[in-house]
Amino acid sequence: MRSPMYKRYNQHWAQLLQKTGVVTAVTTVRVAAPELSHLTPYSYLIVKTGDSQIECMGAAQETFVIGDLVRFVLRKMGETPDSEPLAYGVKATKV
Amino acid sequence: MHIHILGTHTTHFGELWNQSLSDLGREAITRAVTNSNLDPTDIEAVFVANKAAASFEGQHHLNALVSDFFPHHPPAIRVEAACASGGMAVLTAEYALLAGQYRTVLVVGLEKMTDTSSEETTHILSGAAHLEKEYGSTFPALYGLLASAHMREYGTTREQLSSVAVKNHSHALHNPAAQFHKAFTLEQVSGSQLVADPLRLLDCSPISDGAAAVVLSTKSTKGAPRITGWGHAQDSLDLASRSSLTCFSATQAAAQQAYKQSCIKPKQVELAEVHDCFTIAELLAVEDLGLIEKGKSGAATLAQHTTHSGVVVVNPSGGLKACGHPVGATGVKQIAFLAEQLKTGAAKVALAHNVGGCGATAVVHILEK
Repeated sequence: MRSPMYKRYNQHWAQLLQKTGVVTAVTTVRVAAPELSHLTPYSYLIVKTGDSQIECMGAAQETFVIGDLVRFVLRKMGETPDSEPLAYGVKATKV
Repeated sequence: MHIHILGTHTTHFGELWNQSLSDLGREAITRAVTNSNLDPTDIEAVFVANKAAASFEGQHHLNALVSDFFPHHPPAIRVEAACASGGMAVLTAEYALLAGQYRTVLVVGLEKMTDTSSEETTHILSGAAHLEKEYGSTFPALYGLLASAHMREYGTTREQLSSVAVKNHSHALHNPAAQFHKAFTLEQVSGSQLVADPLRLLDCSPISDGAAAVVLSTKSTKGAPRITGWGHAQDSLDLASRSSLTCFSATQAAAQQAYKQSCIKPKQVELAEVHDCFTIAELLAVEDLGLIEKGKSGAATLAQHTTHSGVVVVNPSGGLKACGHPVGATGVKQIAFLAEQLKTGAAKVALAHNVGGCGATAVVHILEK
């Protein structure tokens, strides 16, 4: 991803980190996009936090069920070439 | 004023290595015009449905390419709405006809998806979502979330999801244009490779090449099927902004518009081509369209209420699941297939339902004999 896009996509990280929420939907991705295939299988969640919901990946190797209480943390998202920003993003981990 | 469907043609869908995007488009257009008993120069304008020829084929000027298939180079407009491009192009053509700008137009949907690697194809298709793809989602994952929500809220079962695939593959056996002519059992679908829980490989529609075309006119022609109602609605691009994960509100709104315009009630619909990009998508669709009571689509499908012996025949072509899903062509193929069915007397009322993304765009058409 180009650097300006990456910055725009992730500018709200700080507002989410350490917040908690409840899992409202979950799936386990077994076949992923090439840049994320090394992370499979991983959980993909919809998490309700306050008045809003966000979609995010579950932290590595964790399994989730609907109703789990989770916290948002900063984690590596995938491998990127040296010419691109490091791919970090928000994931959810069980409290 | 009604729109008459004068002629149609759908190419074979599948992995068509010997046919280019141009070959597919030219075949669909030529045959549809011939089937209309018109001369190509009778076509006053062309509406071209395509999602990603620029990415798949490097073709960035598709409207001009398609206009070039006609001797008189009619005005051509490209319409893109992800997987709903076909339905949206038909809708755009209808607006132009009803505005009086043209009297006879052609809509062609075409997509060539199998020349790229599966990785490239996955990346290109993910462009129909928004930020989700940057956070690890895939389209199967998004529909996996919907499936898990439907299973939790309504008790929909793995076997019921599988019954959608079994039915649509069975229907495709009778459609010569379909990508797959192979029957599956419930056990085979339920035992196929997991892609994104609970969805498995045989819950997913395939990557396909193909094209379809319809000739539409405001001129009254005896015996030609008519489009008597249509609707179009939008929802948020991302799932997290939705109030419900067990329905597509865009489909519900578009269906209500179409039913109202045509003065048709859901129970009058005999044939429906719905957007079954995944098995759960068909279950959501038949509920949102009012064809099956909310929460009961899984049981109804397993009980064979949505096949030829049932209350409504859903996806008689095989749907996206078994007929194939060349994205830009799909919505046009739905209209073309249903028009052919109406012409043969298979039904008097039919419905086409085309979705873009994960329910962010929905287009519904009602066709009558």
